[in-house]
Amino acid sequence: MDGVTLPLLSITLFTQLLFSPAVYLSMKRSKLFGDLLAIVASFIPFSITIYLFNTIYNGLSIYEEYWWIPAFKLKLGLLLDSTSYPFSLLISLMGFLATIYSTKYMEHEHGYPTYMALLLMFNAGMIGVVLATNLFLLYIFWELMLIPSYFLIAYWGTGKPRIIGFKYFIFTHAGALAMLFGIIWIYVLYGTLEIPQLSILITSSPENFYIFILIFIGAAVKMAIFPFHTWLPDAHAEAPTPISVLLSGVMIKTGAYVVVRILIGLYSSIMPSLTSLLIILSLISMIWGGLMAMVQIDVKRLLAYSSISQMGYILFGLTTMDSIGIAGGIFHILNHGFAKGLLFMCSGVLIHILNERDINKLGGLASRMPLTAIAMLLGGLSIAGTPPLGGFASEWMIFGGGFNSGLTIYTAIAIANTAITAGYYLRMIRAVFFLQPKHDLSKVHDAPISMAMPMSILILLVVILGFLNYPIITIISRTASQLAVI
Amino acid sequence: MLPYSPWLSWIIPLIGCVFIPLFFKLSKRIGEVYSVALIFLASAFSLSMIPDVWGGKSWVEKIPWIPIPRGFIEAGVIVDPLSVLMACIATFIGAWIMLYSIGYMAHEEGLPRYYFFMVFFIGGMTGLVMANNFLQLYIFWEIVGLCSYALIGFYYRKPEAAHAGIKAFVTTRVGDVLMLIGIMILYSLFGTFDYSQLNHALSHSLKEGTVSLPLLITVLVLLFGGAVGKSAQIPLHVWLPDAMEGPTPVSALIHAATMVKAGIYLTARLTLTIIPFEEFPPTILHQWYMTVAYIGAVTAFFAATMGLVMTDIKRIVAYSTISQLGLMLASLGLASELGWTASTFHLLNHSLFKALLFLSAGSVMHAVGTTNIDEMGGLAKSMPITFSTSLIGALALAGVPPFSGFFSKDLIIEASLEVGSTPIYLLITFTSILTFIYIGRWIYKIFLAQPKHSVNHHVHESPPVMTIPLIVLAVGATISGIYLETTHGFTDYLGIKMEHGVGYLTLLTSSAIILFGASMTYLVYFSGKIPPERFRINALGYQLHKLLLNRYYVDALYYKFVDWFIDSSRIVRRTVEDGGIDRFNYLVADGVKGAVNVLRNIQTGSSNINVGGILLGLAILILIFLALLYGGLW
Repeated sequence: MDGVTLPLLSITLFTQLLFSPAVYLSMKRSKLFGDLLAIVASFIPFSITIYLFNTIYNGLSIYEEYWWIPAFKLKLGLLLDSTSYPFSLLISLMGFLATIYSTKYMEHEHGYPTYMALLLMFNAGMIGVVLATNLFLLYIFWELMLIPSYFLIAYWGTGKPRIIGFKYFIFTHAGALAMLFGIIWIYVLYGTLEIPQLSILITSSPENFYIFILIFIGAAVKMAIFPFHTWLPDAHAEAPTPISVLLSGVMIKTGAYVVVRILIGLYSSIMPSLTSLLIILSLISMIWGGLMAMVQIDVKRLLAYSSISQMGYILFGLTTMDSIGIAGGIFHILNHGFAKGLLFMCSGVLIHILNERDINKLGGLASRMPLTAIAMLLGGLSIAGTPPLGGFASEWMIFGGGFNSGLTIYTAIAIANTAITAGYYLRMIRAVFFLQPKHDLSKVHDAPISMAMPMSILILLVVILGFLNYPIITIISRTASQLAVI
Repeated sequence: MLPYSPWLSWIIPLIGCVFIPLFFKLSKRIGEVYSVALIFLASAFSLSMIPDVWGGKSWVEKIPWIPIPRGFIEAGVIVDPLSVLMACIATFIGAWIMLYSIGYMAHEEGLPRYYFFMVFFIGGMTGLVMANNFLQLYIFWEIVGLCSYALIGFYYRKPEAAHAGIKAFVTTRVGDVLMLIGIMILYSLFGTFDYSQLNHALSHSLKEGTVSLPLLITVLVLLFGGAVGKSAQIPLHVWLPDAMEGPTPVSALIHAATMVKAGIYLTARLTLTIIPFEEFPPTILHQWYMTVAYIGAVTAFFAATMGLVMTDIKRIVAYSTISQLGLMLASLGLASELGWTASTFHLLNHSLFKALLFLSAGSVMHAVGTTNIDEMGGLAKSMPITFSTSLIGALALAGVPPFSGFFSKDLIIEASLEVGSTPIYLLITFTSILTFIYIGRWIYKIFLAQPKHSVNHHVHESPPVMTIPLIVLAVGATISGIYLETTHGFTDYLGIKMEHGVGYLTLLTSSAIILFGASMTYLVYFSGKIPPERFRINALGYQLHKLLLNRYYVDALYYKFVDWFIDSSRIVRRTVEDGGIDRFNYLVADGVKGAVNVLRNIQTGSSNINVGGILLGLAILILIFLALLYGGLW
């Protein structure tokens, strides 16, 4: 460093919040300028995250702290360590790509300036959740990501957006309240909400057992774990596509972050007593999501159910409490985020170009849309855990963790379920891209550049993370070995 | 050995394939030449390893790969006679098939895709056999499965092809799931994927008694599940005949010469490196070996019976492939050094003559434009080269001396007699007789029978770019058996010292097979003394024929199961997901709405009622207060 130390984490967090009104105002004047401003705003957090890679890779972490409400001893603490780094990388990258994607996909929508402003706030809220060191602050950001996303679904969604937005809001808000209740309880018990201090204080008392349950409910609703999942297919299917990308690719992972940071990080003494319950919930989620995805005919709804299924895998990996299982769970968060974001972008291309999302009405598109076809094949196969793609690299670690912690039968079921995953993705790809075209396709073309560019980046990531994952796994492994009890 | 051969033989195609679309952008010819040259280059690297491993020498090279929480997972290659043999088959036979493709695929659309996946496949297959650990093996295992899926579905507009691709992927995936479970259990037991480390850990824990034998056998059976899927053995054999929807060079390369051999390779590798004979006498793993042997032998027999009645030129050869793969597995399952040698020898020979048969079939299809052998006939005159190469392939398959199949099949029979397993011996013998008959029928109907239609009038021989590979493979299929047998080349190569003088019982069996097979073929087809229709006159024959035509109804059963599965998911979705769980959400919402509607009646706005309400509430509060103050009133 050249002597001047920038508060990089604050910049990461607040740039998009501050740019948000500016984008709104300038968008009114010129769309191009507003778009550029939004892209720059979303690129800054990403570039900082990349810039900080070396620091994190070398085992250091970055901490910033400001006084917020001295009366309540509340501090504004931001921490980027090996636990939050993968999440922050995922959020900032996907936020950046979704912003680029939106400039084309949403250009003719009503209220485009408002949309962009809300999108940036949504991104900032998600980054805030994973950087906060204080449970109260975490809760604030948890709600900060909920509110813009509610408006984004309810005003730019398809189908019955008002009802679906409302459902989404009520579900996640109910979860958030359960979490808030747990957080207040923690404050009553220990008088502090700073995560580092709590990690020393928390014991396995009965109160903590109930707090664990409350916070788990908050996280489970966000992760859409069965039976809290019904909001997800509606919200993810009917949201405007760039928002689906962020919801399915990123936002539901903040629930997994809470599991990693709080439930495993702070409550590792309680976690083992609930392992069998959590494993069964995660198994039901993965099988249920898979079965439901198999009978969907709407591309986006199929992808949404697939997310439920995959969140089951992530929770499974984290719940094993084995170092390899946790590493696999965290790595799968990244892989699923990239692959599912990619798949939603593909569905967006279908909607943008053909205005059709019923798989039975599509067909034979492979020759007209090679990029989209390749992207969908790779994304789907990666999620189905097909080597050499990213999804396999994380799934074998999840399964390895499962066997290491003696969950032989459960893990065998989880592995068997990957055949269902492969089945429904191939079924969809066949219906959309293979067979004889059902319409005249002569005017159909592939994704325009501002949609193809984010897709290409994600294709590269999906492929490369499968075998050249050395740096990122180093970071994840460090967290995993700290967290594991086995 | 050329420098870094164990690595470059698979890295060259894997990296090189990325640029194929670019070269096709320049011009079609450059793209084709580039693709074929890549594979010839890779095969030079593979072949150059032969002298280094001659005599059973082997070594392992490793580099660090994935930093997991406890240590590293290493990537590596194992260089030994088995892996080099497989690598040579994949790259060298692959190279000739690629050359053939230039002619065969000349007028197709989507060539960059075709060549990309072919080269990617060859790289993946070579990587699979060179891998020194199960994780790497599984990665390549799925890569070749993925290429197979993409190439079977090459004509993606054709519903059958798109369907067959999915069928292949999902069916083999069932086996892969079992295999992955087995791999992961081994990993959690011993903390490693590495073959040689697993071998040490296994022998150590078996001596100490830390791993129970039933668990070990279960794990081995699970691993063998992957082989059953990939090598299309019963009950996962259904995908291979349908896979014939792909272009013919694909069938020759992937579904005859190489990928379907991956299962054999895995089983051979398991018995060679991970559970070697010396340390673990086959008796303690008897159940596992028997599973392998019986699945193989039973598959061999039943696939051969189905091969008898098919009419599709490629499907007959596909059933034959399933059957021959079964023979190799049966031989491996005999758990003897002779059985192992016979199996790998047959693997080599089969790759040569089966690729030859497929390419010949492709040459025929290219010329006549149909796949039904009943519509062909009399092609021997118009396609002399294709006819003679087909005949060589067929004789090698049927096991007629001096062609290659004879020698390896002899060894398999010898091995089954040596172990003294009568059911296996009988199944192998009957399979061999059936093999003779169905391949005789194939040759007769295509090349010798009276042509039924006029379509065959304008038939001409294929161009040299297709016939040269045919000739090369035919020469291979002719000499590989006799040369390696008489010079002991194959056993020297493997480094196995044994004097396998073939016993008189084996000679008797082979002679009987040839005699019986030849006379049946002659009577039923060539001379027409007993026309095949005669077998279908009585009820039993008719039913049997129907049973065979419907492939024992196994496919139908699987389709029923999948349909049932999807239908029940649909019902679950309608009743539980939408009608139950989601309905419940809306019911709660409606309930709240209803309750609020009832409660809002109180909000009349009349001040009398409001003040009354306040007073009532106040009174209740005071009562509670008093009750708390003078507790004990309750």
